[in-house]
Amino acid sequence: MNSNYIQPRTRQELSQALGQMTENSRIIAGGTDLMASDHGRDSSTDLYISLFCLGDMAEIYREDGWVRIGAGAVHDAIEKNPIIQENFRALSMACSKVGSQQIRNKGTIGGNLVNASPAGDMLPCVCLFLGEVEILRADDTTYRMPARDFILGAGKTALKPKEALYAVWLPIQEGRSSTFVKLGSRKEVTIAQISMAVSWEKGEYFQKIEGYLGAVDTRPIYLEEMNHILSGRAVGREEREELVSSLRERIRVIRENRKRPPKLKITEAEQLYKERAVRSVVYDAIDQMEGES
Amino acid sequence: MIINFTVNGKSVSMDVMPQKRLLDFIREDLLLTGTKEGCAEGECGACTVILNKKAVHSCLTMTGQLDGGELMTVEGLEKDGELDVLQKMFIKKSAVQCGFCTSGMLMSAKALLMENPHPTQEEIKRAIAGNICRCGGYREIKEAVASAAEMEKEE
Repeated sequence: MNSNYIQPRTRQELSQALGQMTENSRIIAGGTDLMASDHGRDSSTDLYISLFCLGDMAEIYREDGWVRIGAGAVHDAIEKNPIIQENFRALSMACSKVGSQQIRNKGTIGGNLVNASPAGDMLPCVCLFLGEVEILRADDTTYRMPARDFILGAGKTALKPKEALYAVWLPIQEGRSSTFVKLGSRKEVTIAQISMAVSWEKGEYFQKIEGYLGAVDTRPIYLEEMNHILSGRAVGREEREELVSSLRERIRVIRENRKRPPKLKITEAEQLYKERAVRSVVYDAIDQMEGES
Repeated sequence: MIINFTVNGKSVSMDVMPQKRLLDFIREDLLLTGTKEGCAEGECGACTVILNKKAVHSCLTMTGQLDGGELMTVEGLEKDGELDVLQKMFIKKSAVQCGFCTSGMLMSAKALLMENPHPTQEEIKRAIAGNICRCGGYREIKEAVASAAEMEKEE
């Protein structure tokens, strides 16, 4: 265990630390992913930079029509934050469904995005809300980019060497509501098999519907058909089934185009699970939308 | 790296290996062996401690992250030789079988009651959802937590 450890307390100290990073250095936020894999004992790591004591990175506040969520904000804090509950209900719901209470107390939105797991619950939400990520460079400057462009694939982001994800910015959109559905292998402490984040304009019928499907491909999938199928009308069984058919077809295409076999040894029938299970996700999402409107 | 923290109410300043797992630091350096290692990857909750008033996995925490913080382990529940009401209720309700999950279960329950002294059954269930009991005594454990909350209310 010869690696160095830096725990900055200010943004400036973090920038300086970023300047010392090599390709073998790691940034640790909550540690819920990193520590589960290397236990702090990876001898090839030359430097750990811990974000745990950086108060500014955990703050959530409004600024000029946006809500800024520090990358170090933990899921429990985001779930319970009144600004998030009022403006980004789906994000609050998604945070409430991440892992166990211990994980929600420590895991961060920044860690979830940077790890870019296809099953990450923050990804579809941040994309849904047209979020931007703010990235800190070693020269203490920052720049912003759309979250959709930040996530490049499974475990891949646009983060460059000597950079850290510093904050997530979400534009406040008045008059809209949102919801989040997560289907896992069990009720609690589960990893998404399929997730869906949806937002819509409030009114007599759903209008201007936006939706993302998570955990079925390497990145969240934008569901352009949702608005076409569900908006401006009373949604009955026919519309629900039309959406189910469309999403089932999308998942089938993803499965057939998958170049790498699934990591787990699963039967052929199990490989078809998501195509079948998406039906309950669609029904749950529309039930929740109707309950919210 | 020298860090300053409190453990079970006592102030401590120590030269530590910051990237060492907090779990190992608690057991090997603080010699508080009530905290148990189970899965070592944040699944079982056996290593749960309370850091800055929140239940966390000590197996997923680096010791450096303790700097400036408040740590409570299962040894900190007892006050002046008297068990915490949670511990008393775990005994009374027979919520302990092999006991390996108990310290983590107690710390998750303690963190819940510190934040929410009057939890509902659903809230209790959610708070301990990350603590696995292989003996399967969840019913008794939930009853013990509910009874402890009730006792606190009466006092």
